[in-house]
Amino acid sequence: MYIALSWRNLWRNKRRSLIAAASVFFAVLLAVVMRSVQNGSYAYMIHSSVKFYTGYLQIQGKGYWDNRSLDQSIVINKKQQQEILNIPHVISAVPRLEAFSLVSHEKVTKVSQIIGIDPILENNMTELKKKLVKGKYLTDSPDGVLIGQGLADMLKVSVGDSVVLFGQGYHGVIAAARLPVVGIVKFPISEMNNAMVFLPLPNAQNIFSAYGKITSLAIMVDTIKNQNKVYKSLKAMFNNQYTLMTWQEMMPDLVQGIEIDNASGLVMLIILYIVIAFGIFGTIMMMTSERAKEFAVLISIGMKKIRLIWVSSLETVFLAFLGAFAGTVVSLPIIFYFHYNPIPITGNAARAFDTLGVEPIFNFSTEPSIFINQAIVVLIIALATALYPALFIGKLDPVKAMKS
Amino acid sequence: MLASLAWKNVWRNKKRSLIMILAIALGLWGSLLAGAIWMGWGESMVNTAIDRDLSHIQIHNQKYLQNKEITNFIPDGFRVLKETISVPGVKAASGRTLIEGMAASPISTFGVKIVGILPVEEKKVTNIHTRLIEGKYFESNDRNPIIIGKKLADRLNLKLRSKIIISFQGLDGSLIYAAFRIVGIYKTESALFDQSNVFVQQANLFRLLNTEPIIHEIAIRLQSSRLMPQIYNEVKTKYPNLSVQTWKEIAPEIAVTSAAMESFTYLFLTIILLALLFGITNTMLMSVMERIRELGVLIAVGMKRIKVFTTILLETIMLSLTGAAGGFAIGGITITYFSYTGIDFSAFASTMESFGASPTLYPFLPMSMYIALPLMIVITASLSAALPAWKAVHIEPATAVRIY
Repeated sequence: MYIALSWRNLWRNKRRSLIAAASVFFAVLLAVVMRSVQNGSYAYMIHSSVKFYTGYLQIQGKGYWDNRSLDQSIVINKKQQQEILNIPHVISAVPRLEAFSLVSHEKVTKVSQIIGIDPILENNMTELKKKLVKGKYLTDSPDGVLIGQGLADMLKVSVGDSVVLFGQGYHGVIAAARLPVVGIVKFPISEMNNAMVFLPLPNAQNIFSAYGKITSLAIMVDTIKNQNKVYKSLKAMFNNQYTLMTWQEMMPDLVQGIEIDNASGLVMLIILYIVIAFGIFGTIMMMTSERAKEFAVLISIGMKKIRLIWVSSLETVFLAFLGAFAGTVVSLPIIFYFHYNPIPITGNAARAFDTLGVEPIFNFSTEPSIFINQAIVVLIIALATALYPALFIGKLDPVKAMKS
Repeated sequence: MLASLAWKNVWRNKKRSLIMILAIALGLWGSLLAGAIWMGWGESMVNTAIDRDLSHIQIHNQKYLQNKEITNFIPDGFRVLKETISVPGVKAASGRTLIEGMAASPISTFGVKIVGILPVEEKKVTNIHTRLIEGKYFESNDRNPIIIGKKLADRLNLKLRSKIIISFQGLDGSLIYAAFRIVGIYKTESALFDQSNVFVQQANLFRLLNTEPIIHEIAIRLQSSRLMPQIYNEVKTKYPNLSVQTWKEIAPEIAVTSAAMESFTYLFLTIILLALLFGITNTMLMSVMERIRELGVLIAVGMKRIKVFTTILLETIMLSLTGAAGGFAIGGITITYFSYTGIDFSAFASTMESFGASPTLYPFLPMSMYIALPLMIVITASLSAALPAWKAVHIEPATAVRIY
């Protein structure tokens, strides 16, 4: 009864209702698209940056993260690695031995990050092979290094030349070796491009006298939602023997970047919603005062005020939902299209992204919560504005209203 | 005549007009303040980077930019330095000897940029000396004093007065090792900078390198950043064989981010104005529908339709500009107030610092925005007046007078 009545009331002045609904529609569309691109980009940024190097989680020796000393290297044997892989949602576990060292070729010497890797496991996670621009990928044979393109240019080495490593190994032992360059890899992040040298793990362990040891085991999880579950399983498995780092701890800049972006996005949404709320409120107010006479007549012939309040409140809610629904429906194709065809960022802005270590792409999220949240906000606004007709009817004096 | 008619019409339904005016005022206030904060943030990023190490203009050997080798110093650097200091508008200039090397402590090793400076000169160009959290800025009589960042000190587990081993390649390609004494520890907004830059006195480097004085970088601080294009050109023409860059070229990501803040503010204002457009259209449409009989009479007695159209258009613009004036007034007052006191974001200090901005922001809006914004509002108002005005012009006087 109420529903039918208020629905018909809405269509008595089609144009006005449509405009009011359109302002809600616009707000929802905009809010949904904005939140979608923000959240989508976050998830994508996180996944691509952890996949790039750190993984979602890392097992390290205690204190390793702060001083990166080989002395904090750890032993995780094959059996333990297999156990980790058996944990549900774990996709890969990649062992690495990392050390800083000088790398020279002829007269040039550069500081580099030397990384001992398992060529196959590493490629499964970071797709290192795809970054090869010259030469071949590492094999199991102990000799040979992959070198970042920027570093190769600075050292003036190419495939086939040899480089000399010179640094500090486990417990301060001198580490030195002469190794042939088998391939050159290119990274979008210049800090990596100018500093990284990869070699097979067993060889790195020999050079740095860290026999059988690794400095970190990077772990990939299928999606970020399962990160906590895996974290708990690992924690139980190693029982405080080693440190378990999350990507949030390893990449605080990324976390903070996301937080700040998210916060300014929310501020924008709040201001937008305030403006929209005023628009809806203005419309509802006019609709109500225009009908003062009609309300007065209804009340004087015996209609209960509370029923009238019900009808007019429902009108507001309908209006809001109509707009919210249309906004959601229209935003769906847009979001799904861009979800499958992300927008690449080009030019100088792309460089700004590079410094954060993130591939410059706008991605769209299709999380249902985005749509639901916007609908809830609009409903709350509608309910708040519905207070006006309620108060108006409550205070209405039928005699006065009919006379004016 | 029409204008005063329109103005009176605006105030015929006070409550309705006030709601719209309030919506416009609040929307503008919110977006202006948010925009001003973003702009302040962008400027803070730029200023901290300039004060920390960039300065306004830098001169290098052209080869140094491709390859940061120690041999790519500025030929006759000290003469160039002297000459640049005497250029009118230059406040100060500092010659820096830059060497890429390694910093080692008993527990770990990191790659660092060794910056050889003349403390007296460098003080005039950058503000690292004000950022010391421990120790003094080269005031002791140690043989090899060094100032390092907090982040590096933590990573190497070193304290004030600790010894640190610095190694780098000499001019002839040989490796040089030297022990330095930490006399100061600094902390800036950028952890990355703190981790990778160490400061030593030039004389010590020249002794270790066994060379005549050489410099790789001349950092020029201007009396005002407004002089930058002019002095840049002057210096560039004077030294065609050297690389002369403004900070915008050296750190394009900072320039882009700070410029993006302005575009971002405009984008947000556009979104808010779009949202307001719906509200204004609605208000005006109702106002026209309410007066349909009156407008019919006016047309019937011979008022030109173009005048009816103009009245409605003027009404809309007046309504919008009144709201805009309100938004401008409160926005201007709040922004001016905060531009003196600053807004303290120290609750988010680490987040702000990871973006290279200081935790206290001074919001401001560029002059251009104060001009562009009223224009944008008039455009918005005209657009929202289109439908109501069209409706008013197409009133059929006979029908309107009879039916309503």
